[in-house]
Amino acid sequence: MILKTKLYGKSYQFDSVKQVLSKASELKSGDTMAGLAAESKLERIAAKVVLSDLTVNDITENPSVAYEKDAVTRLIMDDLDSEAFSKIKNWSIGELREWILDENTTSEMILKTSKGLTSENISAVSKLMGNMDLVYAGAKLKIKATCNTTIGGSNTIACRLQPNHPTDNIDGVIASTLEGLSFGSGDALLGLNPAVDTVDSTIAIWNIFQEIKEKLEIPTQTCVLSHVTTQMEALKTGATADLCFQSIAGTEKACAAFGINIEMLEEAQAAFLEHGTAKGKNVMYFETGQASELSSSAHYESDQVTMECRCYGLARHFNPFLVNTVVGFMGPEYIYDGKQLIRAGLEDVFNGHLHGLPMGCDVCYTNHMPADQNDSEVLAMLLAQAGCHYFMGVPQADDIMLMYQSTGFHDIATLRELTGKRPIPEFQKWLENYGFMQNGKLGPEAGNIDLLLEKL
Amino acid sequence: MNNSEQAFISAGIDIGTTTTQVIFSKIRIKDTSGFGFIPKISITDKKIIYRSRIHLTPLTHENEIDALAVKELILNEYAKAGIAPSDIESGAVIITGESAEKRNAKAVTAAISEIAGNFVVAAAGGKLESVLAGKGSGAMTLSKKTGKRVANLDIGGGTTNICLFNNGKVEEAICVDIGGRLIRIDSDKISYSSAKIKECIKNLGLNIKEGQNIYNNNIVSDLETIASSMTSYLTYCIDPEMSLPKEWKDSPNTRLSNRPDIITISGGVADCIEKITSDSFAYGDIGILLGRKIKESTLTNTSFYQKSDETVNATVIGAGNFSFEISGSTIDYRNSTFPLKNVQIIDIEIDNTASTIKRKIEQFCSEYQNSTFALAAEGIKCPTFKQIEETAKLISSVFNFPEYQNKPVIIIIKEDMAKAFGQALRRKLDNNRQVICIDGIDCGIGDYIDIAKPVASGQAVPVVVKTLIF
Amino acid sequence: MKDITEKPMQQWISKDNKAEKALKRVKQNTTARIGIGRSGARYKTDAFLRFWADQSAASDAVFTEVTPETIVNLGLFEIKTKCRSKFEMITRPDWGRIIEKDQQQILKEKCVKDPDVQIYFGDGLSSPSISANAEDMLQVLKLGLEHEGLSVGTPFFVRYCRVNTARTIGPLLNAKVVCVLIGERPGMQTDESMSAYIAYKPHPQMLESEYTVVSNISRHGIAPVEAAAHIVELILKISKAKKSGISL
Repeated sequence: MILKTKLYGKSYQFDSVKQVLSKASELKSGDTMAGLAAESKLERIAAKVVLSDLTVNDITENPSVAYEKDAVTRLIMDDLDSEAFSKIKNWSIGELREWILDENTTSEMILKTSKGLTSENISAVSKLMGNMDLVYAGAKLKIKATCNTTIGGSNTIACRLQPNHPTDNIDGVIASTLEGLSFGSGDALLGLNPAVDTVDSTIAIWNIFQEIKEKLEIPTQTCVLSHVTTQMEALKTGATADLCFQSIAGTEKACAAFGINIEMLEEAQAAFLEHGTAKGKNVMYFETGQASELSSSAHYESDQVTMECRCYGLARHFNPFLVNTVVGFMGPEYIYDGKQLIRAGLEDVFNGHLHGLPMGCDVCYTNHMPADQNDSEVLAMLLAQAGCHYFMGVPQADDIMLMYQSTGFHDIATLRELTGKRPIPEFQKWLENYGFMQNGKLGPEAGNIDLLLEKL
Repeated sequence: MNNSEQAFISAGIDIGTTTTQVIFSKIRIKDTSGFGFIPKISITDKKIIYRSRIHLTPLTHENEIDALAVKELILNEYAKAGIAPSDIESGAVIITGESAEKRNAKAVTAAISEIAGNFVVAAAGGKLESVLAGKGSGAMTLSKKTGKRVANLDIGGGTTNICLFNNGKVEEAICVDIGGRLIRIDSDKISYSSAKIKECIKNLGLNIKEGQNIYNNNIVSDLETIASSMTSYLTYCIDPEMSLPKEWKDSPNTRLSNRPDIITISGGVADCIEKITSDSFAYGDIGILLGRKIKESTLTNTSFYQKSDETVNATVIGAGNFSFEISGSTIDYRNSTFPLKNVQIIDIEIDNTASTIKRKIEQFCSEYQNSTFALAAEGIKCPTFKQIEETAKLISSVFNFPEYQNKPVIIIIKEDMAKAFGQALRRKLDNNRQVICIDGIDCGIGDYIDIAKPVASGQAVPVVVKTLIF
Repeated sequence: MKDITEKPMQQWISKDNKAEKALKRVKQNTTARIGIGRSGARYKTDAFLRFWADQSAASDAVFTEVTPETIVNLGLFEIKTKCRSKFEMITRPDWGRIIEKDQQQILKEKCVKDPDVQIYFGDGLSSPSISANAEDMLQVLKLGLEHEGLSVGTPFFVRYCRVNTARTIGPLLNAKVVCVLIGERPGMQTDESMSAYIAYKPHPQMLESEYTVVSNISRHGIAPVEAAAHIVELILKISKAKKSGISL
């Protein structure tokens, strides 16, 4: 294993695989703050050169956190498909990259092989990819998952309708939900971030989502994004939903900061399979976002892309229906500006896809980032090309509870029209019945919430 | 404080022309603001936990309300519900319809207030009844849900109380003299007819007289004619397009100025609309006939009419569940005992001068001597410190006049500024002075208010605004 | 003169909206940007411009400086954290809580020691929040607390300030209660919101959960005078209980 190289006659020496991974990472303010980033652009390239020659086996044997120290490492290692791994363990990361990009390598081949890749390996290959590589490679991956409806396949762009309200006011939530539905949003799920994480508010919103779904006969999924323990308590009262939500992180310690561990997630999955209303077997919905490990000082001196990948390693254990990277919510100390945002979004979605996950992206930014809606729109268009499974649908992109900007209902319709992709088929029929959609475009009744209100 | 849910019990007591009812409700309140936000106490649920049966209102031989018997009846209901008068934090006793006009009504209310709990108050009057019945019937909720104009007609024994809601808000409230017991029948004979009805009978040239046997001389058919005519009159009252049936030409011209999109009907007569009874005079009045005529009329066209949630109980539920509101959650009070009852409102403007305010108080005191009063103002949306200070200086100067030194300082403001204003006032008044400063309550000249014991760890108070009282 | 930001978004519905009546009703329950119509699958021009106006105001609020005149007019003096610019302020939250020795010295020289309550302002993530709210809040707080018999320390302003400066400043001035009034991360509704973080005897090892928080203070949220009056009562409660935050 060689951890040094020369560029233009100058030597670059690295201490560890972990350091190579960190320094090979595209610039992120979080890695800089953590003291992990390359000190110059050229040092970054040197790290990439060293990384390209490391083998899958080298990286597998040098996880970011030791097997003995961390439950997430153990889960990822124990879940590894040994047959797939043995076929590729001697490939260099550079060769792995070329094989993935090769036109003769199919989605099926990649997804079979990636079962033998640890999250650090997937992180590594993404560090050898330019933005267009990430889009190109990601676009070929076809990943499906089934809850009530099936997300994924080659021709869909779905949407999580996110009707958040600062006080969880039911009528306010309904208003945004109906508006979103009438613009074609909501096929991935109706999913609310509650303002207060309580059993009461979880039940109240579960009930209203279930009622809307049933009365309007919408082929979709429902979910409230309260803490998994809150949802478990709510489940005990007899109330229910289709999907179980939780935010996850890439180390055991960072998960603990979120108040979760692997057993808790396993219990929740079992409970939702038994008491939830999902028809299919994919009942989990996870959210991630680069640098949550760093923000809880649980990153073990690893870069944020690698840590993010380990979230996907954890997620794939649970066969989730959806994984969502909330890419721009952490703040400029982690992802500084529009450029870093776009890079992070492309990395996360590709890395999640390579883990075999149905990936969505909350393309978003906060007002204290030097970024704006134009950056968001660029990333959303790129991700639509890259096969991103779904995006957030928020009234004109303005989330009045979380106080950040995401993507709007209109953006979802635009992305579908631009790429020729469609909503999940059953949902598309539902939209066409109301005249909300017609010929792949918004229809004459788009925005007419009266048509839905009268049935509630 | 977040998520701490609390509850209190509210009573509704309705002493009507014919019947008396009692309900108890559990009102849940909760801080609905998020973490780190200033509290906002809101009502989250109102659940009726006890409904009495419908009692006939006990009357004396002189046809007055029998205060003692009513008192006993109500005490009995408390016992049955397992609720002590001291458990009650809010609610209303209302004496409705013709009963309210009876001479001893005020004495009766006073007697009942005494036993009915800390905060049950006396109130009456046609418009208030209309509003309470409208809210109790579910018409307000329906209007809010649909965004439409919904009128509720609460058709009782002596009066029909009509309230029109638009998008959940009261738009108009009227009271007309139509009811099921304006003509009464005892042992097949007409035993009573009201003065208004007598005029209508005369105008229609009918042959109905007290003492007549209804099965002679086609009287039943005449009674049906009267019931039809009453129905037409009600239709006139809610439909600005209709002209007044000529037999009602001498009636006061009280009607809605906007046509409702939907109507609901509550009150005793509402139950006679759907019900089929073989004996048309089972209740000894023309209520059943009236119900039938309404059923046959355009009032109950399917496109227009919706069944109400509550019929005969609408008014009492209104009294128990809808007579009060919760103040804002940033309020200020010191040295006060609650509840405060029948506080009379003196309307002021924030920019009134001290002498104007003093003149208003003087006027009030000369008229009402020792009544408790509150100064009520619209207030200022997002006031500055300077505005608060100047206004507090002005108001405190008035209350520092020797003649008002013993008066409690009660300020009711609509805009959210009571806590800052109350603190500023207190800085300028004696430390022992009783000061109450609440916001989020809209009231005006001629109103009376009751202020209940603070709820939600003292952050807010329930307030009853009464527009009409004896 | 035309000002597209005058009308609250909550009252704004696109022209010829089929569901206008229903929208008028449902928009009473939410400030979400619904009922804004469409041009193809994109926004109408006025909705598009309004979004950018609101977002730009929010962004500017973060990246502009509170002027020295504003500080002087408020009767305050100024110190800085370790950050030297807005760039460092947003990328180094760890520096935004460090008060270096020279700045500590200024505080020691200029401030009354051992106050019952130490109030100070920080720009945080919204500079306009200072000019919009500080004056009204300071007066109500000072008069209110003093009326209740609490001594109030010398107020000042911290540039490039994060909440956790309280961990240093509290012990430095030996204050019983510290109240930091700091600009919130702006949203699209308003760029002037301020939060109050109140702690009983803050110290370097204290937990985030030991702060009592009052947020959304602005003319669009809770009026600054009313919020300040509420904070007066909170501080009284905290002083009596000798604790703050979730355990209060």
